[in-house]
Amino acid sequence: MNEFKVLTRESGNAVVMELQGFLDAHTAPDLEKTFSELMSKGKYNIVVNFDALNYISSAGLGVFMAYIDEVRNNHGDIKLANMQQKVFNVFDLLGFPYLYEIYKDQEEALKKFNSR
Amino acid sequence: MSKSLKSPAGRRPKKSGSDRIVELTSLIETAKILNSSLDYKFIINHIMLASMGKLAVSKTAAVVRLPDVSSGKEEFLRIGKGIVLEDETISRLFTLDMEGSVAVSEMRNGAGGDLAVAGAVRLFAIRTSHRLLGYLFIGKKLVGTELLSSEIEFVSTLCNIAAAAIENAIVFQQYKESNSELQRRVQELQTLFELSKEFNLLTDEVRAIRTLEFAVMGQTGARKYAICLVQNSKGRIVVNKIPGLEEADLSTMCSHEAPVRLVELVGKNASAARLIELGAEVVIPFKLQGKTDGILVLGERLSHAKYTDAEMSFISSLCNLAAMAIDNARLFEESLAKQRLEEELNLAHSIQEKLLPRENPRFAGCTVGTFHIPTKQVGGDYFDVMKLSDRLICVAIADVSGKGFPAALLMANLQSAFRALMATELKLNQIVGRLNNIVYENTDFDRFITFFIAVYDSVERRLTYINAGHNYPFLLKENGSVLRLEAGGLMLGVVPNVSYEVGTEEIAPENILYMFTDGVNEALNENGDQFSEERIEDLLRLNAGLDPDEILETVRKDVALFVGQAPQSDDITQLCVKFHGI
Repeated sequence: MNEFKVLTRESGNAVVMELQGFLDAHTAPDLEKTFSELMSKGKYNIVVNFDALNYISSAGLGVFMAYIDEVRNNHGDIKLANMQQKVFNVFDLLGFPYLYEIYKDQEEALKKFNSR
Repeated sequence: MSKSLKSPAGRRPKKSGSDRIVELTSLIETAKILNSSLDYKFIINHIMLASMGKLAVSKTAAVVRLPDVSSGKEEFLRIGKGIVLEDETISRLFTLDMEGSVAVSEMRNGAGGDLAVAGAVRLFAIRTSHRLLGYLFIGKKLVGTELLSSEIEFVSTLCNIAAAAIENAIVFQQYKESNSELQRRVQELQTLFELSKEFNLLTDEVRAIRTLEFAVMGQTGARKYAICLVQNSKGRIVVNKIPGLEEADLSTMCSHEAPVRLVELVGKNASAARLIELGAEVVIPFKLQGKTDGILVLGERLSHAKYTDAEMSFISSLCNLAAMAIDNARLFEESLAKQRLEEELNLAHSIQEKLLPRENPRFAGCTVGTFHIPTKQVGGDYFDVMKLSDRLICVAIADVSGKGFPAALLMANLQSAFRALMATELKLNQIVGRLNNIVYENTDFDRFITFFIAVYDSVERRLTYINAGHNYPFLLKENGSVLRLEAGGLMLGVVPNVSYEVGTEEIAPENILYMFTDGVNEALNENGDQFSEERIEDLLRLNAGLDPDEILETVRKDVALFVGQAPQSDDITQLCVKFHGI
């Protein structure tokens, strides 16, 4: 089975979410759960590290859409980092680079939060 | 065709050789720059700026016709620096399909006038050998003089060089677009495949809808959307991300058959304008076996792009898949609920069985037989046999109005009240009077219980009884006569504070008391005839010599024979008491 895992840890004033494995319609609810926990704790500065994510589908992208308004309404952001090329291609294809800040490196994304 | 000024010989001003070389060098440089770019905006911008610099004009404009790969339509790229052109002028110029360079003042058609008004003095066609790509428009020179023929030649050459570069850029752009269009289609197919797999695994509606939401959001980037499910032609909004949207706004949309843009429905559908006002753009129905099972309303996207036909048809496929999953979830839920109900009924059945005596008490003065079958798992018939002392035994039978759970609940209530009252020192008529009040208080006026209770004193050989509206029991006497036990009063639960009359009968050995509920005498055969009390009486007379259990079995068999294939319509309960000598 294609496993999916989310690890979260705090870094400065932000939370780093590390994704691993396959993010698709089947595993999307796991990511949704993590986001909804962060929302309930009032954590709106989020950096998602895609380094260990091997696959993403539309339904996986949908989860990021589901929370972006709530996050931005609370003066936070979801910044994406360390994407493998094939994962970036899916984001790119569906026009997400216009909607989200995508960084090569997680530290760059974190700096954006810390400098605020 | 207007005059072409490709080679304005004769008016060429004298030019030194070194000037020509500088000009050529600059053209070669430009050609290099332009040909190395695959960005047509950059190319056009470059020739505009080069012309402005060389000719010292402050106003230019350019327009290029771009084919759109995904829609197949054409669009115009317009760049204006001080010259603004109307759509109509542009499309007229493309119809004219001009060549070379033309002075606006020499144009003999409406377009010339429009161009003059906009401030253009000369137009240059940007063409490849086989087609017109666009036009470059030049305004007045800052110094106010006419354009020199060398200047016109320079810009013409620039346009010729740019044409090849623009053509390249367009082809490259088309290739890029086709490529990403292809990738998009592959992505869509993957999404469809993935969702159909996922939907097959899902057994609940909420998860199915959430999965659809994620896929649609991921695929389109929509932030405003709503999902409304249609059941029994009524819409129920299950997801609402469109502020202000209400079920009433969607009622006329729920019957829509095909994906549609709301702008196309304005004037045809009363809700269309209101939905657009709320930010909705398209409505996509969920189709299942030709029926609309729900709708997805999509609104503004994070990217603000419009929904294309291809996207709408893809989302429609997603929605149809979801409709199937939601329907499956519903069926699954229904069968689960049915199964749960079944289990509860079985549990209720076993509880109710325990409220009835399982074993009849041994009593010296008589033998008691009982028989009971409910129509459903639970019913409203009740009977009891209680040994009160060595000389006293009590038998009772009751029929609660109605069937199923409500009747069973009331029966349980009667049982507990009756058992509690029997443990007191109250007299028979007081007990029944209290029971009546309890049932009256616990029920609505249309619920009632018919009840019969008899207490036999084996020393006095006397039967005292009260019949509260129940079918008259039979008492078979020693001389062959049959009495019906009628004394008592109104059925329980109809009016409060009823006083009940107590009936008394002297008993001889071998006398038989037979009690029953209307499930026996009103049992229907296939013709709709009732079994009748006459048949019961005949059976009792014929079989008076048998033991109570044998008598009950005889009646049961006869009822079963009479009923045949007709379904049992009511609970059947019988009690039979055979009194002994000492």
